[in-house]
Amino acid sequence: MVLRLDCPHCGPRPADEWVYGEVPDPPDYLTEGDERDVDRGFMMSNTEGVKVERWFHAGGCRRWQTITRDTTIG
Amino acid sequence: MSAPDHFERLEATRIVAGPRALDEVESPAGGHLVRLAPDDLLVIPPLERVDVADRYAIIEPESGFSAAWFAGSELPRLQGVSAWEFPRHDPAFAQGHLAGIPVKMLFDRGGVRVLVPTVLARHLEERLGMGGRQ
Amino acid sequence: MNEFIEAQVAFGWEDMRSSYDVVIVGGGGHGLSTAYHLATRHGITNVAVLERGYIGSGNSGRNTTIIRANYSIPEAVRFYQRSVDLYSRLEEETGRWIMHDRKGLLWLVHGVPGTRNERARSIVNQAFGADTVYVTPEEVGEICPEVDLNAGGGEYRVTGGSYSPHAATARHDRVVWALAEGAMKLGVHVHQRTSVTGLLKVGDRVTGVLTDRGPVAAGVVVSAVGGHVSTLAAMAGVRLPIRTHPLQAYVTNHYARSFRPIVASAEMGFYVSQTPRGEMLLGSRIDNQPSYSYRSSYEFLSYCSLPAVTLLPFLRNLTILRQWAGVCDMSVDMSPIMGYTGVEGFLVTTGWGTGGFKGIPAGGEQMAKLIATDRTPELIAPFSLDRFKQDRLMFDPGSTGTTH
Repeated sequence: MVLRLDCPHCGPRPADEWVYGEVPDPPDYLTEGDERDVDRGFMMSNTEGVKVERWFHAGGCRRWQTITRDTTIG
Repeated sequence: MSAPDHFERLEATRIVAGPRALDEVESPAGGHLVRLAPDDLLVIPPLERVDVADRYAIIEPESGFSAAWFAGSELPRLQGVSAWEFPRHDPAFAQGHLAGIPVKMLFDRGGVRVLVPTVLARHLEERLGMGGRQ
Repeated sequence: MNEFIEAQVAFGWEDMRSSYDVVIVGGGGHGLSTAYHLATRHGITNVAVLERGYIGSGNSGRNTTIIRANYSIPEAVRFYQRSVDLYSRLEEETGRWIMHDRKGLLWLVHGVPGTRNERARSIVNQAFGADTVYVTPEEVGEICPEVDLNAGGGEYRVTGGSYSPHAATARHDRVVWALAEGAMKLGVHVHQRTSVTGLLKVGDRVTGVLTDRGPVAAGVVVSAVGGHVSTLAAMAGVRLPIRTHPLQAYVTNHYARSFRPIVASAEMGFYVSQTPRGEMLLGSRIDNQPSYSYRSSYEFLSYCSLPAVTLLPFLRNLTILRQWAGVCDMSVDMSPIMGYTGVEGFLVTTGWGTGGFKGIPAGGEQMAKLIATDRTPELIAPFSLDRFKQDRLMFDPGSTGTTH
């Protein structure tokens, strides 16, 4: 089964219609400016489990949506 | 004939404005209001003049889509090349990929009018096995 | 085939010690290759490889087994050519038949920009030691007569390509078992069905691992896991520029004729080779979503098959037998990340993206050298984690399945 993401405007649509948007999430313990910038630019939590994500529905409404997803299932 | 052989360029009006202002826009007689996104409205056929209660509204003639009408008998075939469920009742609007190509679908009177970005129309014709322009 | 080889590995599966000089997390190709090279090249045998499932059950058993060095940047060409060379000697060295088969790889293009890329690629390859030549459409037709040079009624007309005679395939489970056996013969421990649940730390320093079979102290802990590296690294306090995406593949039923080369078209977004069983093996780009799921999809079959049957019409007559998915650790610049992490006692070999199999021998060799000498070998210095901090990224348009 293909992963479906639920678009608030268009309804559930397969992941192929979407473009994933990485949201930088530097951890709180990084306080020094340069370190935070490197983290924002390159590093990712790559969460295993439930995560709030940003997706662009390129094949439908062409708007950014906020979607909660479990990366161990989807 | 139930299956069209090609898509034809569609003239419409595109309005990008605040959602509440778009809620107020009235459908032209015999036409359609297609809500592409909360802040994005396609009006078919194009409007002569339009009032939108949003001073920042963007109102432009939209000629980037092509359209074709498929009768109800064609729906199972179209559903077969789509990874999402078509609406069960009409009139209804839906958008998503059809045969891997982004389309807008206006379900009405048992059939469906499919809108596709004109640059992709030829690919969709090919993937749907339509005859194409001669 | 696992059982067959396993039965021949005549060494005991030892009890776990409370401490090792080196603990390698992940019993796939890279972990086992690191252990193998530690033992054979450096005499370091107080080593444990910990594997959550059975060895080779992760991405080492879920890939498309392509071995090639036709990358587009000098550092990658040199590294992967080293791996190509080591692969071609692995049977002799281990005494195990890994079904290594030099097939050659055709990388096809369909227009002027691609043609320019492949010319550049062949020049870079030749300059840095990999045999890749630019080929004309006529030569493509001679190397692989099945290719429709006028694909898609001319829309995907083949305008040329590069040909890498060095490219090969090998049998994935035979590779991991040959390395495991070679390492175990010299005293390395391989512990299967052993999950790492945490890291032992003294201050910021990593001093061992916690497993579901108890704690194990280690002089150095090496992460060679595929798919869960960010979680493991986070336990050490290390952030990685990695996102994990599924990658799918499928095989067809038996094609009765011999299909010699590996054929790839990055522009059309697929690649294909023939397995020793005669099946056609196809792959495409990674899945859209970051995910740890091994779920496969119909959509993949569809977007992989359409370009494939367009370029190679004979594929239309075959039937898809089975499909599967692995999970790929995609680094920001699509190049691997090897070596120090900034945390003492914790090393990584990761970011192997869609091409980890081809890097197994050289990746293990170089990681072993780094551990034994406590210095980063010149060959992998460009692939260090601190390149991101230094803004010295290693973008390589020659890694496949990633950007298309």
